[in-house]
Amino acid sequence: MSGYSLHLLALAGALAAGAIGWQIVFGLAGALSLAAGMAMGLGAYALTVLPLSGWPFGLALAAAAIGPALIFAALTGVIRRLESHYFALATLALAEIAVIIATNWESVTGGANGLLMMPAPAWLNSAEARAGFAWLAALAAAGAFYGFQRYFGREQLTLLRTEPLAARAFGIHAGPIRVAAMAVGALAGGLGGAAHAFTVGLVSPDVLAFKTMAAILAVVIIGGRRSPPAAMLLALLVTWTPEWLRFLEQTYLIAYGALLLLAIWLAPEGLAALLAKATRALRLAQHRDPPPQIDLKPANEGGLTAAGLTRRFGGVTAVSDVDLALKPGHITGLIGPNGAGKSTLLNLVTGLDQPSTGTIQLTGMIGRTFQTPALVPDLSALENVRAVGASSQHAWAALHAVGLTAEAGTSASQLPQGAQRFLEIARALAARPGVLLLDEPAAGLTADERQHLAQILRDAANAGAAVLVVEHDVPFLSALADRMICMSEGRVIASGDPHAVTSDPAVITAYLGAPLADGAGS
Amino acid sequence: MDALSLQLLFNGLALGAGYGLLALGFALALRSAGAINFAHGDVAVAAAYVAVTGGALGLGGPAAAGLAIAAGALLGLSVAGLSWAPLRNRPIEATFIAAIAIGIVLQNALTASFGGAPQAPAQIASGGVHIGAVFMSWQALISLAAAAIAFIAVWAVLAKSQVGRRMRAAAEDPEIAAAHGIPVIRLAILAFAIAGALAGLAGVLLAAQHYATPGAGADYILKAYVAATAAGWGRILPTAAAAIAIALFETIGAALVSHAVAEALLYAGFVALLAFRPQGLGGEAKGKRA
Amino acid sequence: MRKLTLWTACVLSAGFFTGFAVSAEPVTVPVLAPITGFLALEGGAQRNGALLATDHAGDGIVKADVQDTTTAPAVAVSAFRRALRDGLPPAMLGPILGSQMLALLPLADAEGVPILTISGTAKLTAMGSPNIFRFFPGDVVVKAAHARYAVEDLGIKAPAIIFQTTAYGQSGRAELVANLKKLGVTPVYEEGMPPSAKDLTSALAKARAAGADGLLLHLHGGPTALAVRQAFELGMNLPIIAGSAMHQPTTAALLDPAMLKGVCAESGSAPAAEIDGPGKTFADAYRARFNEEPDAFALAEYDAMGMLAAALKSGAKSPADVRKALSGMRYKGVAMTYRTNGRGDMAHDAVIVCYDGASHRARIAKRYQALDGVQ
Repeated sequence: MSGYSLHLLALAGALAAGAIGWQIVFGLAGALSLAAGMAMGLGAYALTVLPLSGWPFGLALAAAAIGPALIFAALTGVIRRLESHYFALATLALAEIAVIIATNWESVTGGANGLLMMPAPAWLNSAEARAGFAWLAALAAAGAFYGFQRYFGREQLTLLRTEPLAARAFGIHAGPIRVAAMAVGALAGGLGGAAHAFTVGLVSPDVLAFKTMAAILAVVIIGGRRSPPAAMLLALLVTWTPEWLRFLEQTYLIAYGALLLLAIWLAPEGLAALLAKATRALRLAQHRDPPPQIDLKPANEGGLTAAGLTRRFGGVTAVSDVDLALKPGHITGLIGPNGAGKSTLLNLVTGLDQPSTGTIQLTGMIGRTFQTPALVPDLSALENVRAVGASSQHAWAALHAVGLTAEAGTSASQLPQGAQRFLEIARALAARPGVLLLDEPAAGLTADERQHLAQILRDAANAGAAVLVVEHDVPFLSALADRMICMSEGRVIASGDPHAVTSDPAVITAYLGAPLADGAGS
Repeated sequence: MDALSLQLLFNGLALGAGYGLLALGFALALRSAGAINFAHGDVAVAAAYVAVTGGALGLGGPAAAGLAIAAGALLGLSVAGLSWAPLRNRPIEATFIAAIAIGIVLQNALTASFGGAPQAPAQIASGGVHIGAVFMSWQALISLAAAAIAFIAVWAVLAKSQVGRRMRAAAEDPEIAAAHGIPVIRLAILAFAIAGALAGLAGVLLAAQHYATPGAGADYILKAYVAATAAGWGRILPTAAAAIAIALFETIGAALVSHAVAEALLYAGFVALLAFRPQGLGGEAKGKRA
Repeated sequence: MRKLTLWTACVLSAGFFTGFAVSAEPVTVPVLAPITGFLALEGGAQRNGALLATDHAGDGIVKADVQDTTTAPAVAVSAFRRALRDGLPPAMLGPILGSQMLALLPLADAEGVPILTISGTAKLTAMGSPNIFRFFPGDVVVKAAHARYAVEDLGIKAPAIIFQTTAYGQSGRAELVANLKKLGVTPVYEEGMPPSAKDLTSALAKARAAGADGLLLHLHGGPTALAVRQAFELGMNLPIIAGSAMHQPTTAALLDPAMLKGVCAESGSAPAAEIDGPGKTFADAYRARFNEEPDAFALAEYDAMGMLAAALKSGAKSPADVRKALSGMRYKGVAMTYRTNGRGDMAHDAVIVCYDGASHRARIAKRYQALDGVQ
């Protein structure tokens, strides 16, 4: 290989490491950070500046990885709560500040000209060694990627990205994962930046500039959001393509831009996804035999008492002074017309929303389902259940409890609507909750399925869970529930024995004469 | 206020007129099509070069500016056709990359055809007027007037016209709007064209005072992006107002500290702002996010 | 037109026709230049100067292989390594961008290939490399002219400095301050401007408030024009001596002539301002070939390629030959006579150009020779 090819190979390896670092942040944790170039820049500056003040090369290299990780952890701590675009802008602003500091702090960074690196140890001072260093950095980045994925769980991370609310309801919190992803991503990026500086022999603010981020974006979006090998391939292509196009002279970067556009048209979800789609037919549907059946009991006996719950949004009081008591082994039904505050109450109870006033006392875990099933379409039924952190054994037991073991390997998007509802219930059960909350579980189910549903909920209560069911299908609920609550305009207007509640005049008025007994459900 | 403060205020407002127009278009496409058009700054610069070419062919300042607006609209349509329409049902990052690719093509096409020298399109009016100790160039006053007219026009169209109401409905919930027979896609493409025209106007006004280079768009898009986020994602007129505030910060902040420190403070300020107000100053335009 | 080009080619090649060994195959000389990105203007001037010089060197002497370096050091290294794929060229022309040259210099030393550059970054010839040959007067030289003209000719005692926070600006500013100090003058105000700064009013006003009696600019083209225009609009009435960007005809073209009255600039040369002699001949040939005005960077690159061609004509073949020839020769180029100071600084002269307020055309106000004492 010529020195030229080895140099490009090294640049590609450094870019791959930076891109894989960003895959951890964006691909795994779903955080749209625009500071990947900054992570690389910090690593590059560390490996250049520290040896000039006497640090041994190895120690400087360690600092080039750990330093960016610590800095990113600290900075992300401040902005971890921000939603997509706001997080993107905050990270972009931090990256811009880094450029300004690197450019103006001349005494340390060498200013816009940058700093030459100290000559490397002799055994490292060859084109082959530089390329090797860069690809080791890329491999280390890939190791960090898979390690991160393993530690936090592929299914959990997928749930967090696609259904953040459901993830939160099951205790998977975006904030800490985001901080961890930014730190680990910056570690990988820092190594990539160190490799870049080592390859070029000089660091300058150029590496911090947005175009590094743009190159990483191109590598990851066209390659694949969660595929380190695809990032490596794309890093090679992104590095080599302009070089191949040099014969076009002045117009070569126009051609590069056009090719980039073409690539994103052809693979808008990434080459890795394209490849997966193409080979899906070839792969046999996964079939796994279920492990021996176990009973699914709540991990701890649960129960929930809420007093004086009130939630105001601006001038609107969605929930007003509601008391609630859920006991183990009991099924409580919650009815009320649209806009009565039922879903808000569920969100308060599950901690997705904070009450304006009032207290909630909870023992045991909470499991819940959503009005619109909040499943991850691309994951299989089993993976969806595992996404809330359930063990394989518990996940199978939950699938068994709802009768979906045969569909364990089918992706959620391919399941019929009814099965999707049962899968959601399986997911809630797998967490072995003491308190089980269901938001309109019967919606869209056939009569047979409703019976099945009633049986599942009764079994769960018998196993010791405290169950709360929000439902429009009043007859269905009356037959199932031990106790019934009716809300209207944020208040509880009736509670007690199901039949007493449904025949309460206030309840009938609240429904404005809507027939309570037609069983129309949804 | 002393003369210098007034001068800085005037210069900041004149610069803000350009930034505001740019941000207005950026937010319009963002709102109507949900697209982060990262080529928006490059469209503005390319339109300014069209005005430069018009001037070289003998067009006067106003005619060249008109040509730039038309070119901007055309480029906006091209951006819609190349980066948004084919990818609109795909993850949003795909459009993001496509727009970056279009930006690369535009920047390098300008470098290849015009070289790297800074260019100034023909001025719409030269000279200026001293009011007290404050100098107001006609060009800057025209920028302010043009921006004011464009802001009012965009507001009137969005708030008062049927097209505007339909655009807002389409932005609010594309599926429901489509079910009601509103041509969602055509309206989004129209928004791109208007955004391009606004970028063209911004480009020619900014270049007349601050000159154009092929790479100038990168800086413009950063300002528009910061403004759009600070104002609350997808809020159109607040975005323009935030852009004007950024321009004032640039001129007056630089006077209070220095350019480099003011720039760093601007970004640090946004991080701090977002840490305390996670959805920008104005809150989100649509409450759709779960 | 064609005739004119041929004629000037004859005149100009006489300048470097010192040898007789004409080989059949022209030697390919890599020309690394930032022809895309924010230095595309200077990179384009590099390319044009090099191409014109290869034309004028005569048939079969040198061929320029122009490769873009963008503005990234990494890409400059790529272009360097690419140029070395098919064996070591006798020499190459390096990019104008200082940080790219800094990255290339250790590689040039490792490979043993001389690099001819027009980058002004002071550090380049202070690193002890035997392979650097700088054909544009370094900041040490031009900033001496800048400071001396301001202090000695215009009587400025309290200058304000506004510089760009880029490699070009930071390096120039350091030398400018050092040269002012030699003349016993301390700047009353200094501020660094990012290239994206759109309004320089505050810096100009602060300079005035600090009691400045002259403005020394060291900014890129667009910002220089902006500073000159805004100073005019503020009615500052201070003498302005700008950096080399103001000598570029493309910068002057951005301004009304009236705004340019009394504005001066330092540069290594100013071919577009020459009214007779070889500078004028070069400028005319350049205009005929490229349909644009030449600047000092184009001329410096032209002279660099010219001296290299002369070395090759005189029999130099290997990098070592070229190194020896460039280190030993005095070469009478178009802008000046080039000879090394022992560290690779080949250019020691500078000019000051000024505008009279009536046209975009600068005139040469002063020529400085041997500013760093190299004879």
